[in-house]
Amino acid sequence: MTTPTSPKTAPHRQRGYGWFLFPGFTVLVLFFGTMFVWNVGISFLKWPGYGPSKWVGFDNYTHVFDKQEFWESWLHALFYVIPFALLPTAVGLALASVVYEMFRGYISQALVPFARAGFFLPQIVPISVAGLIWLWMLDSMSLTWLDDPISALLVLSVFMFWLQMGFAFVVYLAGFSRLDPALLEAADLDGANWWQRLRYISGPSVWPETSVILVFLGVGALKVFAPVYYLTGGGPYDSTISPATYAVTSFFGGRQVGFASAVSTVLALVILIAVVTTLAVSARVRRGKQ
Amino acid sequence: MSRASGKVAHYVLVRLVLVLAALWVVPVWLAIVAGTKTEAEYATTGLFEFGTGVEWINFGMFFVEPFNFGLNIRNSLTISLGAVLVSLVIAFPVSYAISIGRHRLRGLVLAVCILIFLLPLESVAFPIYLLSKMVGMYGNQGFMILTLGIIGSAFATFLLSNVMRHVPSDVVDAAQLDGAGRWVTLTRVVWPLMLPTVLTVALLLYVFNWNEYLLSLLLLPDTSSYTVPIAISAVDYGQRGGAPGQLVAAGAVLGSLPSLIIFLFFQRTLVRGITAGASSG
Repeated sequence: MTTPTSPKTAPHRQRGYGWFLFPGFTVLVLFFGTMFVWNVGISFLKWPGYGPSKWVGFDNYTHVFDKQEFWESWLHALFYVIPFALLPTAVGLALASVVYEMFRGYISQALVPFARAGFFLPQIVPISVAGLIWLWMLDSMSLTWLDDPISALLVLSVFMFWLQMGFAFVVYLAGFSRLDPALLEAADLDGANWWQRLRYISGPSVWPETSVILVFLGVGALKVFAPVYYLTGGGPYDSTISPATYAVTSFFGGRQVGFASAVSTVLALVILIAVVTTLAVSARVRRGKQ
Repeated sequence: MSRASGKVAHYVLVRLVLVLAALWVVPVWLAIVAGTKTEAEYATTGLFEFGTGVEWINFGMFFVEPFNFGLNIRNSLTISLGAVLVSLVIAFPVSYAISIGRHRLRGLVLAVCILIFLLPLESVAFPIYLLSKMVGMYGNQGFMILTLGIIGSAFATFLLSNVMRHVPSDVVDAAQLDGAGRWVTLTRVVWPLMLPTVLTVALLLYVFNWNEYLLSLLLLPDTSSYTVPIAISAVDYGQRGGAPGQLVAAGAVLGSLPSLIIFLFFQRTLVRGITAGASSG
């Protein structure tokens, strides 16, 4: 959501700014463009990462699609959308709404930064360190939950939820500050309960935040690497691998590099399609509402 | 709902949120508690119980062989700060051109930045690794700085230009009427106005860079070039199951300390930056 722009906030389009735009933009586009195309190129090669290579067309993709691990990694990725995106968004919204509405008065207001700091902490700690802390914590309580496929998936889900909830929480909390408190007070006097106020007043007002959070965390879930890599390493028995960890471990795992590039190219394409579709749908919804 | 029951619900909800926030900190808190204990205390006391004092040697041992944690900290500092500078050098002029200058490619630039930001790093990481070997800069800090800097510049452009859009045109017009050229307007007018935002962006990028893991894994192979997160996770891998728990905990605390300190001092700034990025799309 943008603050209302007056007609004169920025000057009209002028000439002579190309000198400022093109050097940096060229570096950015050239770097990412080259690397991306290179990666796609490698995915058509039979190549161990050094020495001679051979063009094999779509062979790598056929191999990738034949692998059970590949489909499992995508099944996991779809599942990770729940603890990595949907639950953090829902709980973050509910908690932010409670904090916004209930933490009134001098003392309570002073407690808001503490709540925010607590929930946001996992976003600040390096994920490798957070993973280490959780491993150590489970170990020191003699819990072997990471040894079993199902419970490992559950622990990893809790870990992801713990990591991401604070992001949704702080974004929603900032979004609510736009709200006119008088509106909620009026609804309160009219007898609307907390859920009704969230459902009809505060919830709809943070729709822009919701779409940004969902796109960001949803894409984050599909391409998740670090939480999986540093907590379970994809195990036990590949039961928690994600497309990204599958690509990286294929790259290092003695398999040929073309195979790993094919895995990561598919991942990039899926995310591209998902993002473009989401943007198109949300644009249509927004147009339909007006 | 009656007023009285509303008050009870209010009381319960506020406490519930505070308890939940405390629960969120528990893993990090447990590591701090455990990291300050002696080996004997670690074996005999409960998880939430502090020892009698702080066992500084738990932390100190990371700064001597074989860990040399001081070196890792220096690596992380150099890389994180260097990459922030590279990002700003790229992103600030670009943001200036599309926000103040309203360059006609504005929409394209922003779309490209968002796309780069959302694309999985894994889909460009292997070629980056191959490139580093090709140009003979595998394991080189400068290469890491440039790469991270370029990656961060997409996010920096997005955030900077969103804020720069709100610089009043009167200010820019007045400067240009006084004869200031584009460059002077940038350095004398826009840069000072944007300084708070630049600091926010720098801080965010710094934390991103400090916590970076994938490229650090791929591009920095020697223990002497390890960054803090990689070094800490190496402590784990090398001795998992064998390392005394209080040392693992102390290592984890050391590894998160730099980020935690920044967070404690700049909580508001960091949160403002993240919400500015998320709420201006």
